[in-house]
Amino acid sequence: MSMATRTKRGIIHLIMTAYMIIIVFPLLWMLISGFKSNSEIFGSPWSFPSSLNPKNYIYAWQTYIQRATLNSLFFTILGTVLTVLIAGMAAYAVIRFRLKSSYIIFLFILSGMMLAPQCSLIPIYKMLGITHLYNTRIGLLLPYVAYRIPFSFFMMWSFMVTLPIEVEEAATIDGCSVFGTFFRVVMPMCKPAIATTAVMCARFIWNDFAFALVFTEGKALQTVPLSIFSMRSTSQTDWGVLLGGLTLAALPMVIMYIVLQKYFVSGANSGAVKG
Amino acid sequence: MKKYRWLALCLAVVMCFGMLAGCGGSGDAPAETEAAGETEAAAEGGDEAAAPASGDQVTIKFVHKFPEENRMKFFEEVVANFEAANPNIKIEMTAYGDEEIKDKTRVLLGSADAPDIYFTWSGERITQYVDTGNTLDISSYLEEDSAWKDSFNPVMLEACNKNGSYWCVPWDYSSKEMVYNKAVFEAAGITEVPTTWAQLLEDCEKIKAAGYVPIAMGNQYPWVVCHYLTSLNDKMVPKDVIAKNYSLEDPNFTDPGYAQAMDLVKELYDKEYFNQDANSATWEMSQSMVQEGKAGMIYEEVQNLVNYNSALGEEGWGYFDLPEVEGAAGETGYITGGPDVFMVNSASAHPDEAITFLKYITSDEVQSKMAYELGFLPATKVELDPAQCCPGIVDIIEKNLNAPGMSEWLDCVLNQTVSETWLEGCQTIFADDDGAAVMEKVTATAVEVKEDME
Amino acid sequence: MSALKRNRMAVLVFLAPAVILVGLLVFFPVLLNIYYSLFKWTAYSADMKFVGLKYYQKLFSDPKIALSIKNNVMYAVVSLIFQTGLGLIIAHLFVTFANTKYAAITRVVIFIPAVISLTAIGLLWVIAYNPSLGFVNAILEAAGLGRFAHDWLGDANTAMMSIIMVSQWQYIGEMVMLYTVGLQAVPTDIYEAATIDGASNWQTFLHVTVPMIRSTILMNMTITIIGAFMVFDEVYVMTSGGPGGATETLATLMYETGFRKDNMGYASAIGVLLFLITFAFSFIQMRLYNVNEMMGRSKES
Repeated sequence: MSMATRTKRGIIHLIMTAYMIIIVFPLLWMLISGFKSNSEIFGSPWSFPSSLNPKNYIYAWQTYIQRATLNSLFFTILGTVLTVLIAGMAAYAVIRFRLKSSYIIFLFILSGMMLAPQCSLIPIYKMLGITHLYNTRIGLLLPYVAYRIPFSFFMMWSFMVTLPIEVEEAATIDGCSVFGTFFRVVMPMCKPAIATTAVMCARFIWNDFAFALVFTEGKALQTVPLSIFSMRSTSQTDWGVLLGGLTLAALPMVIMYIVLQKYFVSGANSGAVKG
Repeated sequence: MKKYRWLALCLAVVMCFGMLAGCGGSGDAPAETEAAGETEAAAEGGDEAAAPASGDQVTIKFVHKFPEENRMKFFEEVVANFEAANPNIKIEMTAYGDEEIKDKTRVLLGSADAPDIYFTWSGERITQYVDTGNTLDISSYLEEDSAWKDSFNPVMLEACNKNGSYWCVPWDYSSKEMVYNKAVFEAAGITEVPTTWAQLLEDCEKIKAAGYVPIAMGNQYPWVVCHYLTSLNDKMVPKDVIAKNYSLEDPNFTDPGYAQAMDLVKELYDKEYFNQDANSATWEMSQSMVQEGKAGMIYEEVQNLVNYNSALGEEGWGYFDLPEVEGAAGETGYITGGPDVFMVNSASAHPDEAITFLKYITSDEVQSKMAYELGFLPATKVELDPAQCCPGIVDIIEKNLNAPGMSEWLDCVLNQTVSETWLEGCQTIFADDDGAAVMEKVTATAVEVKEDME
Repeated sequence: MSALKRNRMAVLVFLAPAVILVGLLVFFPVLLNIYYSLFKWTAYSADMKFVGLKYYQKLFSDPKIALSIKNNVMYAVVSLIFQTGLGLIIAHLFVTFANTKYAAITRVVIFIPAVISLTAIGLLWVIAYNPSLGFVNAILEAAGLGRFAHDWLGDANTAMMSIIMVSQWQYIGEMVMLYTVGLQAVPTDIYEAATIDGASNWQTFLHVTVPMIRSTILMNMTITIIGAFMVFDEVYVMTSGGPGGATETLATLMYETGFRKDNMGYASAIGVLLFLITFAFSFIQMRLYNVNEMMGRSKES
């Protein structure tokens, strides 16, 4: 390696290190400040907490985050499973069923990607009110699923279209019904696509704020983003508790990301680097 | 194979009719076991939302705006006592913070999940729900039980009177005082509290020179400056002009007093008598500035005096009325504040039970408990034991009773859209705007709103 | 059951849920939005008064709409510079010069903020920007730049930019990740050819790399622009549109108009405007997906 290249590499590595610090510092600051008492927080943003007493974290968890985590898990898991299933079935049908309307249906579902959820907050709110689904679990779950279907459909379709039909034909000859073929043969083959789709879906639902804000009320259905938002008005001046709560709210997704990194990356990519 | 087919079919049917059925997610094959458990929860949630009373048990949905820990505890005790005495009534209580409840009440009332009893401030905040028919006329209940009606502080009850009927009951009321930290005043060499605006400015200068923030200002949500204007408008603008303007009979807020009132507040900021991060500091931060001895004063609501008492000790703090402005055209001696009221939803299936609960929370028992434990001012004429009250409270109640009038919260008395414009001005005066510029915008909005109404 | 019937049943079961959900909750609300924008109504009352196109006229004369669009555009422009522009350069530098393993670690780390909810990130930065609690001013002071210390979110002149910079902090990492995949797909022999021709690194980047990943760049640009117009969470959480309305965006203005100022009709009209803008850019994005070609493939199969 030449001297010039080595210097260049050194500079780049320095920049990279600095960039990582810029990213990690605020998050670490949040984690550490969560251990501080109020007067310590007001004292200096640099000081370390006098003790690593997790009482802020325990308080934030018990009072705000615990119940909200259960709600968020409910919507995220059920919403993701439903979305992947519904989108997968539709993608399969469009590819394999010999329908005259396949083309139109493909276009129809895919076009859903063009509609931003924010624009429709008010009409959906009104629809949920009319159908008495406002502030119910199903009333929040359905919009989540509906708005994730187009993209998930696209992901599943892109993968399924590459699958060889021979395996399915073999299954059919063995006496599998359409449903059997789909669930026992096709879906297992789609595992990589399912994982990526599911991760994208979970990331969206877990982090959503606007839908939960407009379509639900009160503590019963409160998801994590809403609960940390409401912490601000109820925890009054307790900044340590708020910071602890923020850390607890951020942690599950960060852990999930570190564990399932590959799928986060391929998910993000499939949304952008196609065509 | 059959099993899968059945499940898939189920899924399709459920999804098709989910919108109408109000329950779903049960046909979810891969996560079968988990979904089963969760669906129960979903069904429960759904039922709760629209549940008719089963048997004699009646559930009353009650929404208020006191989610802070100690206040919530108070309400939980009150509800528990009530439920023990009225076993057939169950109170389902939800609390929202100050900012949240402004949107939430509207949203809730438009839903099938509407509360039976809900909180609001007074003024236009009552009228808006009266006009849309969302609130029950409770005049007959008050007439039937004249002892109940007579128990209220008449000024507060009259705030609930619109078009000759009563639409709500007051629960407590708030008024404003300047609260000061005695140690800071001493350090700045101030021996007497200011009674005129000029003295206030002088004292601020002294406190600033002594290295403290003279007045703590947490204006992230601009109702804080708006409370100053509530008081100052009545001091600066003639009474009849205010009456015509606030009701939008005359939407031209052209009296110079309005702009002067805003400029008085702006001056406090420009001279650095407020902390300079006023627009991003929260209200809670400004409170702790005084409690921790970093700032001299704060324009505070009296139900929060208890916090200063516990932070600074009985001898550590004091209060005074917002000083009068010399030579101003308006009224003097007005108190600034307004009642917090509870309304019964006109769509409630159980208005009688709701009234029973309202009677309980306005009873002497609860009203005095509220005064002692929370430091709130009762909306009724209940006799209080001064020894059990936060210092100052009994005197303030006495003073308020003899006040010539009340300046009701500006952001509550005004039409919502007009008040939002004004509230924005409450932040922009700390930047490039001044009183005259803000009042031009307020007038423009008011004219438009009035045209819209006609 | 005959085979034909069974097939019909299968078609229904496989397609109906997706079609119905998307139709009912994604497409139908757009129409409903247009309908609702023709009436004067509030959230808490069933009364609806027909007002025609009045609210659309108002859209053009309302200074708040103009300010919101300006803020959205500013969001878009800054995000284009930092996320699609700087993000590409960073990704390029990492791929070309850095140690492969260290670059991979860096990419993983800088992606982290993007997976955390906007609400948590927003609240974190509310505290970070706060002059008495946060570290932003403290860092400036420590670096000897104390005179730049500022009430970032409290000053109408800096509030919007402060929010936008949080978004850059959060999302450049994701963009770097996106570009990296595109860059790694560029065959290396092209670079070799360019090097033999004596082109400098910079020239290679501009004349070889950028054209090779043109479609990725265009795609990332549209994604960024659409995102900038949909901005809601971070503004609502950090400033609620304040101070004095300075950070209002179309989505927060819509929410506030509907749920705070009791003007659901006008809020719906703002929703329609938001729809038109995002739809236009999404349409471009869909073209970039090569939808036509995909549909062709779909048709064949």
